[in-house]
Amino acid sequence: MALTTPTPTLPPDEAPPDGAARSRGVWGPFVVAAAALVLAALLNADELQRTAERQPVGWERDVLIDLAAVPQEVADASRLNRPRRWAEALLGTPDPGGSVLERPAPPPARPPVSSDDPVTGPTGSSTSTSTSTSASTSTSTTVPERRTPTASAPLQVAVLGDSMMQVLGQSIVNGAAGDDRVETTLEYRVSTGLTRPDYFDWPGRITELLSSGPLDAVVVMFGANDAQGMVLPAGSEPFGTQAWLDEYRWRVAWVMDALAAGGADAYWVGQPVMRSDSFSARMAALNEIYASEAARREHVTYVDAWSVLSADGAYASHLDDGSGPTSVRQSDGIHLSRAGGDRLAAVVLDEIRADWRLDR
Amino acid sequence: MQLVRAPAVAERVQAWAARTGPVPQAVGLAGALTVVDVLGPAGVAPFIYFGF
Repeated sequence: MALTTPTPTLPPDEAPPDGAARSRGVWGPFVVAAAALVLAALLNADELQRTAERQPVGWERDVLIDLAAVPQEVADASRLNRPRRWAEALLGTPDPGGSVLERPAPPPARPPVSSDDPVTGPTGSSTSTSTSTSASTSTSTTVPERRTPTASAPLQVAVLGDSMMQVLGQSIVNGAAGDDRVETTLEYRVSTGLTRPDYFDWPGRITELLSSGPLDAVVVMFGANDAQGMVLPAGSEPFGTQAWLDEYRWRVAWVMDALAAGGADAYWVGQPVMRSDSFSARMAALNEIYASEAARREHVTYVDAWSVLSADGAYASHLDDGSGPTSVRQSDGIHLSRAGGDRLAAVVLDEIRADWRLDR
Repeated sequence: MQLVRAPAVAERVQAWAARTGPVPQAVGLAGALTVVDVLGPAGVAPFIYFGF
């Protein structure tokens, strides 16, 4: 008896007709693929536009946006971008918003302290009162009123920032963990900052946080991603121009005043010195804005990370912590190591403890 | 009795592509690309790793 292996066969209705595929020629698959890509570009025209807008500001981004506008116009006219919009609505995909910052309204002024009810500031001084009318012109000198945190009503501290805040924030949370009078929450968003609200809208998020519950103090660290071009209503603006610096200062001031209006003290952590000299120069320019804007506001404390994490102002991957040289930076020359985070967190927590009279 | 395995998905797609015209093929491929893109992650903006 001979054993034969049956040849797998497709059902008759799935078998290809003789010569059907061959008749299209060698170029047939390429034509089909090209047609599919063109059709896919129309179906996904919205996303193509968003992808172009997410690119770093510069001529490449401008070219990509112009190129993406072509399928966008065709898709709008033919409504071929509708299916994707329906799918995104069905899936609950968040709308990333536009690329141009719509300036948020200036936050309201911090509630003034009544002259009939003087309070004691962190140094025991009497208060003076004033109001700020806009983020760019605020000159508030109001000494914030501070309650006494207890275990039953702990100090509510939010720790916010970009990837630089990941390690630092964890160190702050760990450092405060032993004190039941302090309750910390950490929220860090990688690759975010104040330059590109089209990618992540920190002003919006901060407004949301302040309205969701009372916050006594907010530790903030932005800037590592911010030394890049900015899209303004008037057009793209490269980093470092006066218009760029003015706009960035306005955004920093807005956040500081928004926190004040929400009743929170701000602890603004500056950027540390970076291994790259050019990157360090950019961070120094941002630090000048943070420090000068903080100096104009009584409720904002600027924490100088540069001096904490440098050797006489110069970049140092290792610093002596008393037991010998310890790595304080990660291998990229930007982010903090755990020891570096702990070192900076100790300074931040000391500021908070001093302001809120949290004696150990 | 012959035990014949059912055609795999790839074979079915191949057979479908072979017997259909170029227009349905292009539409199907474009639709597949769209589904993948809609369901895929948004990705991370490469901001901090610029060559500063």
